[in-house]
Amino acid sequence: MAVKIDRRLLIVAGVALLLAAICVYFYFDPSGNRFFPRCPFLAATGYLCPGCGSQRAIHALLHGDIASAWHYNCMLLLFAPLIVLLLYSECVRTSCPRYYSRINSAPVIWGCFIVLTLWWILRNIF
Amino acid sequence: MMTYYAIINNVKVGPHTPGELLNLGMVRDTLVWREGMAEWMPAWRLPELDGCFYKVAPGAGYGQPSELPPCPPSYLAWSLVATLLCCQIPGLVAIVYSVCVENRYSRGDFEGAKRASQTALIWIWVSVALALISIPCVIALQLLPAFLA
Repeated sequence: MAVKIDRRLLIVAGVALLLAAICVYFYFDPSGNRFFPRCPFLAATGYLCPGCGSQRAIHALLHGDIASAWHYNCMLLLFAPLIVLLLYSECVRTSCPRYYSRINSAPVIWGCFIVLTLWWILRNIF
Repeated sequence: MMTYYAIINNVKVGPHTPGELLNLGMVRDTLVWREGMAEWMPAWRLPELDGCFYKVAPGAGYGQPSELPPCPPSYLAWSLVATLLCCQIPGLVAIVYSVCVENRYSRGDFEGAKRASQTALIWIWVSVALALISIPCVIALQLLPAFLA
């Protein structure tokens, strides 16, 4: 019972945080704004990380500007549908294990890992 | 309850209940006999005995993968979010453990899959903690010049 309440609280808190973040990223443009954190990895090493550009991409996406979002961080756009599917699969993990294991199969996970790692390297070269 | 005779280690034992025979070391191929049967048969040929192997030892080599509990969560969605938003390194480590979850589960190693799942979750919380620590620090550093000026 206690576990259930914790879970529900977590979900409510998560949704509230998400809505707040959407509002912030809709009304404020992160580029050049000192109140938005720059990437510590980029600042420390001078190299882009897989998440660099995500804040600007989210801002562009919320304003319907898909071309700019793609330019800032194309992997965020590519992975967003997959993340939604994966979250759904996690919700139905016990009630629908076959769907879960199909979408959480080793090739899919290895694919994510390899695509992200390659992209991390390639976006710093080109 | 029905009682059975069995041949275990070349010794005829019985009459015993199925539970007692399991304790004595009855396996699926052990020859058993009860009153009314024409001849000795391997235990798995009797539906009422075959059933108790699965209940007692589902993972003992005879169980199908479908008899395992549902796969432990791989938390892949959260690893991807962590990798694409702030914490690339712990995020990628969590993805590697997600693969371990699937590999071990598909081999029938439920306990190992559960451990990998917990490790993946730990790395996701490491990402969250890193984000919570680093983001305010970075913002403070960015605002510092404005305060000093």
